[in-house]
Amino acid sequence: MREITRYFTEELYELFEKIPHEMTDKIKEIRLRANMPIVLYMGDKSLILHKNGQVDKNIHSGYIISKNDLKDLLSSFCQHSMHSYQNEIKHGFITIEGGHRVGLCGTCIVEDKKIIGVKDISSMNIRIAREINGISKEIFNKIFANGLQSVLIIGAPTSGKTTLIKDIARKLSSGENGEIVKVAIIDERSEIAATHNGIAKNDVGVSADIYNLYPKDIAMNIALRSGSPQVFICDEIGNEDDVDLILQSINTGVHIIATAHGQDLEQIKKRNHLNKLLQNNIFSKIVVLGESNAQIKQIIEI
Amino acid sequence: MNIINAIILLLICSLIGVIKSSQIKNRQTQLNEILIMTQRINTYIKSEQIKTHDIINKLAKDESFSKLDFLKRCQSDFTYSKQFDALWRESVKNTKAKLNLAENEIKTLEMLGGIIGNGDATTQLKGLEMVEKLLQESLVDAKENVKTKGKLYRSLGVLCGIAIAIVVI
Repeated sequence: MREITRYFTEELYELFEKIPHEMTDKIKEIRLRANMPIVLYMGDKSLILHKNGQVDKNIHSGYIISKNDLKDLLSSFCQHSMHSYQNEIKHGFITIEGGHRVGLCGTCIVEDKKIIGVKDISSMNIRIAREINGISKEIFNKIFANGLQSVLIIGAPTSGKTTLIKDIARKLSSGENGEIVKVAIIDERSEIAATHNGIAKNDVGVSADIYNLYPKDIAMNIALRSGSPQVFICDEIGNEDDVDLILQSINTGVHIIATAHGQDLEQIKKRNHLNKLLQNNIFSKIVVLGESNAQIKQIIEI
Repeated sequence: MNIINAIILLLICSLIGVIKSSQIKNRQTQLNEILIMTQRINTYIKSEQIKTHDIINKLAKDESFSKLDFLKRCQSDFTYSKQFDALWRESVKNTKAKLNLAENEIKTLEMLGGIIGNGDATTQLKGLEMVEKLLQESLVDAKENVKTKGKLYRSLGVLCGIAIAIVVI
C-alpha cells in the first residue's frame, strides 16, 4: 500500500496509515471522486473511508476528496512531470511504480476527432496490483503439464487476470515448469512487469523480453522480427489490430497467452474480433475465471 | 596614529565599493546561469520529455550552475508527495540571501517552478519562453549596470575613502 500512499499528501497518507493492516491487504481499488467520500473496493464490496481510518458503509461521514486534492494527486502520480505522461493521460490512465494503474476521468479535449488532452480531472480509480507467486499453479497443472499451449483467459474486471498472467510469465521464463521458455511480454500498460526506468519491478523470470508501453500490434511485430519468442504474454486483447497480429503470429508457431474482459465464453463470442480468434482456433484452451483471486471457474477445450 | 586610521578607513571604503561592484557582477552571472538553465529545461522537456526529478538532478550536478544553490536544495528535498512548485519556491526562498537578484527577478525565478512539470509539454514550453524573455530583459539591464554602476561603485569607494582619510589626517 505504501507504494501508492507515498504519492499522497501528508494528510491523505496519515489517513491511510490509520486503516487497520488486515483491511489494507484486502483493498483492491481506491476510488476518489471530487467532493465525494473516498470509496475502497475490498473483495466484492465498496466501503467508505472515514477520517478516523474506519471503513464501513456509512456514506455520510466519509473523508471528502476535493478537486484540488485530485489535481495534486495527478501531479504526484506523474512524478510532477505531466509532460512525460501526456500519452497515458490521453488514454485515460497512468501506471505508477509497482504496476498500479490509476484510471482517470475528466473533461476530454478533442481536436479533429482525436483526443489531445484531458482536463479537470473529476475522479480517479487506483487499482492495486498484486504479485502472487504460485497463483498460476492450477493452470500449469491442468493446461501446461504436457507442453506449451495458446490460452485465452477471460474474466470480469478485478477477477485477477493480470495477476495470473504475471505469474504465468514468471514461471515460464524462469523455467519452473521444466524448460526455460523465451517469453515476450507485451506490456502496453506497464502492469505485467511494472517496468520503471528500464528495470522490471515484478519478477518475470530470466528469459522475458518486456515491450513496455508499446502498442500491442507494434510490439508483436518487433518481437516476431527480432525477439524469436516462444510465447507471447499480453493483457486485455480486444481490438482489430491485436486480433490481426495474433492471427499472423500464430502462423509463425508462437504460442499466445492472453486475457480478455468477459464473464463467460458467450460474451466473448459476441465480440466480433475476439470471435474471429475463436473461429480460427488460435487458442486451444479457454480459462474462465471466477469473481476474484484468479480462481478458475471453468476450462474449455476448443 | 591618524595616518594608520586614515589608511584603515580608506581600505574599508574601497572594500565596500568593491563588494557593491561584485554584487552587480554576480547579478549578471546569476541571471545568465538562470537563463541558460531555463533554456536547458526547455530542451529536456521538448526533445527528451525527461521527468522533473531527473531534470533537477542533471541541473544540480552541472558545474555551469554552481552559483544556483537552490537547485541542490530542490534535488535533496524532492519527494513525490510534495508539490514541486511549493518545493521550488521554498528552495529559492531559503537560498535567497545568496542570490543578488532584484525582487521581480526572484519572482520570475519562483514562477519557473510553477511551470516545470505542470501541464502538457506545449503549455510548459510556452511558459518557459515567457520566463526566458523576462530573464533576457533583466540580463540586458544587469549588463548595463556592470558597465556603468560597477566602475562607479569601485571609484566611489576609493574616493570616499580618500576624502574621509584627508579629513581624519
